[in-house]
Amino acid sequence: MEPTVAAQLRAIRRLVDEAAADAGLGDGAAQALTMASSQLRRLEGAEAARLPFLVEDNRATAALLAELAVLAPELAPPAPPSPDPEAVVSEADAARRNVELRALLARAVHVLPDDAPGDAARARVVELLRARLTRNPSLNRPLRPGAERTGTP
Amino acid sequence: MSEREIRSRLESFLCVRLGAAARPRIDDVHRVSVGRSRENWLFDATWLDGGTEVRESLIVRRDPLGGLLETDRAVEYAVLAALQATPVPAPAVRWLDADGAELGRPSLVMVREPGECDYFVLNGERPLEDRVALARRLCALLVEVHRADWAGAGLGDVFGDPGPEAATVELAGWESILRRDQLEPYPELELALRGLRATVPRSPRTVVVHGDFKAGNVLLRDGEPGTLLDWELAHLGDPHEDLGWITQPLRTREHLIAGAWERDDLLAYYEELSGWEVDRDAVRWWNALACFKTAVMQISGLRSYVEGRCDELYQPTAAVLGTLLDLVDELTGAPA
Repeated sequence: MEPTVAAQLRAIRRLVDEAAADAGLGDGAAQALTMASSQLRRLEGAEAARLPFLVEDNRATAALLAELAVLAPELAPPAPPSPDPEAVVSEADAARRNVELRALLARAVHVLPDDAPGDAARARVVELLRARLTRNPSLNRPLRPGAERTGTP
Repeated sequence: MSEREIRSRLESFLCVRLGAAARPRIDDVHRVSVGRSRENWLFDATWLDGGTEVRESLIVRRDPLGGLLETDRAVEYAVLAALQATPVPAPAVRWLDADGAELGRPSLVMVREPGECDYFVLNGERPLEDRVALARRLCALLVEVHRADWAGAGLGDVFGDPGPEAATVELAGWESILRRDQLEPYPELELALRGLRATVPRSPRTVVVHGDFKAGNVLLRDGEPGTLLDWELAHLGDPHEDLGWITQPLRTREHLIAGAWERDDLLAYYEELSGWEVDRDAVRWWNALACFKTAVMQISGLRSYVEGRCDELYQPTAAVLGTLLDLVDELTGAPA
């Protein structure tokens, strides 16, 4: 449905950029507007990708937790809100479930046994987390101009 | 805080410190940072000392409401004051408002030293030989920090000496910040904690650790390293900690020069200057801790942003979390 959220964010950012280019602004105001523009640019790209990412991440994390529960039963994932895999979920619900599943994954790191099967299971956790880092739309955009040079504060 | 308000507060602050007879005057006040990040105000102060007019260019650093770090200005003041008794080129500190009663937020007033900071000077426009020479002088500066007589300077009264357990103490400190500030679970950091705990090194000696050593914190004067700034993370600890910070993979553009000043060159030159053997395995552990610290700082920044105490958006980036997983795998021997 038009206008999309991304289109509206773009329009707001254009306004902010025009204001930031005003030569009469003080340094503080110009820097604040540049920071606002940078945050809007991030949102434009990531907003639409958040829900699909969360749905897929929840599916992959729940599947792995079900496997890990063979070694540590307390890691069994809670049932999803709807058993229908096609059911439409809100972003808020998907985000809530993501936090719940990632809490179990964090717990898995410490409760999996310190033996070869436990280490192999932890390696699967690392594998899933690495894949998640490449897919996560909110982690793969520069937080501000220049931040991507070091990835650090 | 407005320019008018900070000027008025500074004049009252200096009246208390110097006495009303000194008739302090504040000129040319301007802010050099933005939003709710740390407020740095530059100003000139003039006052009378026994009938003679004294003028100093100063900087006041006011605590932010929130951000990447929460550190104590009183501790930073004590560190800077103690370092004046050593050859370390730290900024001269003048006054402290520990609780912010006078300047609105906890604040330090320091002498404004000349020079410019350039984070990426080692990979900038200068000729290669000049950049390598500068890299060696920066390494010499780090050795000077580590060779400082901290006990003689009184830093033992500011910090506890963690002794051989320095790594354990630092790891526990950063974990406690993580637990305080995290808004959601981070399995990546749980894996890091597990790997770091399993491989923790022992410190061979206690030195002053700067905690954020980088070209971006060194004032360059005519191309030469001058004053070393930003001591808010300083503490007593293992010299490998600073070496791990400056050789971490995320900061290579700040500290190394491809093909001319590599990690091994830096560590070998440090050994030559300091006379101390560098444990390469320990440096790798501190590389991982440096990355863990960075992630924790970003988590603190995220909390500040969500709570409206900071305007700049921080969160652990894919680069930081991915590098951390790589470094911990190397430490524990797990497949990368």
